[in-house]
Amino acid sequence: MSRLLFEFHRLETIRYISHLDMLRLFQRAFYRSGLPLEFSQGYNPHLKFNLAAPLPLGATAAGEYGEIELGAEVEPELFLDKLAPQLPGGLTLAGAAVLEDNSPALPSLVEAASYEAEPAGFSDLLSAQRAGAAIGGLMAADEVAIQKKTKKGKTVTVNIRPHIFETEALYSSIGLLKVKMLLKAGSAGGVAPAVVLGKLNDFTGGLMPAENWSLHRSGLYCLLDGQMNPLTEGMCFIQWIKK
Amino acid sequence: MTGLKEKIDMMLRQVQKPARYTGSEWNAVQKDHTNVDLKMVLAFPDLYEVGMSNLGLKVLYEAVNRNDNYLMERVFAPAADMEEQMRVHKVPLFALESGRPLAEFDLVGFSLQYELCYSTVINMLDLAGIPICCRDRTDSDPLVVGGGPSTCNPEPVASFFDFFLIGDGEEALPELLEKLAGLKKAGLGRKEIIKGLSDLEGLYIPSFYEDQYNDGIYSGLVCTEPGAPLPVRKRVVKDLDKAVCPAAPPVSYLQAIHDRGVIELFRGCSRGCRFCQAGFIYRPVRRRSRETVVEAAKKTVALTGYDEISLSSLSSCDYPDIDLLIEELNAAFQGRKIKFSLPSLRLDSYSVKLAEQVHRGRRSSLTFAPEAATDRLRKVIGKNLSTGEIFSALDAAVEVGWQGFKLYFMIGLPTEERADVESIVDFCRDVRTRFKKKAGKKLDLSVSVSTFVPKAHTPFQWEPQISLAEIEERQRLLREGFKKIPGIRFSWHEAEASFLEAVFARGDRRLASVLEKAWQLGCRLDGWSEHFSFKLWKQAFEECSIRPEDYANRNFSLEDPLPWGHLHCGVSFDYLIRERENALDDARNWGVENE
Ligand code: SF4
Repeated sequence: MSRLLFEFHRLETIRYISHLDMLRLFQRAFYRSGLPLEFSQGYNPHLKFNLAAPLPLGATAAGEYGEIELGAEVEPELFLDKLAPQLPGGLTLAGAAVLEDNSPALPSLVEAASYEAEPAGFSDLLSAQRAGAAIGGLMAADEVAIQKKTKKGKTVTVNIRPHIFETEALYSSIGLLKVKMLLKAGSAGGVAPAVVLGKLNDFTGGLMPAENWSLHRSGLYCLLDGQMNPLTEGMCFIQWIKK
Repeated sequence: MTGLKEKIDMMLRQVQKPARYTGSEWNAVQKDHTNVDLKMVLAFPDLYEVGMSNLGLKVLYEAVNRNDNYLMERVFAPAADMEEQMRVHKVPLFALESGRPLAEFDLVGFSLQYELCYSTVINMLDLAGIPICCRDRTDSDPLVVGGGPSTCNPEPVASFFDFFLIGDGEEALPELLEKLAGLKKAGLGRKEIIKGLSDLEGLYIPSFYEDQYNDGIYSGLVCTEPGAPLPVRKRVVKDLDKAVCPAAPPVSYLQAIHDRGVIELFRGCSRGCRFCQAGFIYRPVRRRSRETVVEAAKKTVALTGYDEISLSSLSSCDYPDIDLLIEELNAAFQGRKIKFSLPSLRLDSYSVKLAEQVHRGRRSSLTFAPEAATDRLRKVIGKNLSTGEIFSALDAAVEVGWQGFKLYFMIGLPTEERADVESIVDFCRDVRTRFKKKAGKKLDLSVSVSTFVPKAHTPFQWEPQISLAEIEERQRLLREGFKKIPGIRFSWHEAEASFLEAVFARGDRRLASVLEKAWQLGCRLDGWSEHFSFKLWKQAFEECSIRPEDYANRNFSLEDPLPWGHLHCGVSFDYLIRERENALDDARNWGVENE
């Protein structure tokens, strides 16, 4: 028995698949890999496998993590060698490590995610000014309300402002480069980057529609002693093996 | 200016399930376009998740792509949101593997699975910028070929296709590509190329024949091209053990309707139920040996990562030594969590036992198709099982722990009377009561009722469909009946869709105008109830001055030339006539024998 942690990146070719698709993709890669798999009990046994946090549809990503329980001791090097060739183009493994027994479950650790949104088709100077102003407005607000549908179909108003930790716009001399965001994420709730971009669009009066942003998730974070830290800081493992 | 890639990205960010349009699935084949003799795209006129579940697509993909000289890419019908994006941004329909527009390929092949896909075919051609009628196409347009079960009467869509491949495609298509590559190399024009292909067995070139009418009634086809075959015979793969068995099909990211591996146990069905087109056009029965099936299962699991394999056929329990096969499969995958499924079970105790072995508690409900609720009507349609036998099979199923059934029935079958329709309700009530007594717990029973559609190349090909009003009346009877029985989920097929299916299933070439009109009015994806608009179809028929009833409700006489009479799909019309006689005899004698 061993539990492994692995890091992967998602590139453009498969950015348009959903979280469930990602789970299925990994499951099939594991089945093909010949690694000794471990299953849950019951009529519908499934792999003991998890991804840290759902990736938004359409987003590329670096620094994503997954964990899996295997039925035998497997060295991280062997794990990487077996799994890598089974992943589709557009999904690359960056490294792996054996987790210690006391290491917490991956999804429970996630506290925040950082995103970079690049504008497609409106990167001129004027947009840069608009984005700057919109961000100013957003961050200055005490409350940012959005409408949300509950499971029962009722519409409720939620204040997402506490979930927006940081937002900033990066410029160059010719225009807007990207908008960076640090947003609350994880099993305890959070806010999707598209929602924040939608709000920014509202602040510009509809000049920066959300579909015009190309989204990238640059990192996942956990909370240690009240401080945001890279996710791996919260996991207990012996040695990180780079692919 | 934004480039094409940025444009497509922007479109993808605005549609549901963008992975339908991005390809790059596991096992998808990427080939260099400059390095092959011939480029083909397989077009499936339905949504991605439907098309990706189709076995034929997997077979042909492998049959073509295993040859280095050719390439086959895939394209599916865009959903309404994506179509809108494509039209607004003027992006032509593109193939998944390379992202290239369809117009850049040599051959576009449509898989015609059923009649309600026709408007979608036209729409896809239009989105691709290919003239929808073959007479308007030029040397620079791709050739357009059709294949699949609907080609056993392709007449309504004949003018949209340069040719059809009738019958099994896995051997015929590579042969076609080889011929085509040679003709293209010789620098021939479109007309000469088509002519050059004409001696390929199974190839039907509609423009070589002219349809004729007498007093508005179809009176036959005449050959306008010397040497064109008449009848055109379908292609038959002789040995399934030697045929392509695709072990590495593209594995979709998003969930396909049938999201599992599939191995065809055998092709064809020997049961010969008289309403069933598949039962006739896929004859003769050819089976894969156990060794081939087990080998294919191992390869499929290793190459796809699927954890479930469907052992498919038209009637899986008819596979000889199916028990042995299951045993061997279980042995081969011992300790690996690989599941098997057996679709198309027959309603007998043997099948029930088998289902228990295979599905082992994974599923809670069993699916069966009694089709008719009275012994008489089942005899007429050739489904030779008595109600007693069916009930004992259900009993057996309950005993081994099944908690529910899905039952499929049909209304409007030839010789059906009101009593037969009402019997469907009685039958289901009996099942429910019986089950309650037996198991003492709640039964999960769902009942689905479709409408009989007379299909070409079956013994019932001459019979009319009951009128639209009559379908609705019989459905009303059922709804009323089922309302009185709590705990049964009753659903029925849209009457108007079945009616339209009947129109095109036995249609002739005059219907092309209706199809084009309906498409212009906005019809597409007609298999989806949220898209299907009978109002628009009605308008199309009216504007073309064609009465759909003349097709759906027509009672052909045995002497009438049939619009599909020039196609030979494996069973002779003499045999079909005898079977039809037998059916009518069965109906007549029933009363006598049972008095
Ligand atoms: S209904 Fe089923 S059993 Fe009957 S002929 Fe068709 S496929 Fe065979």
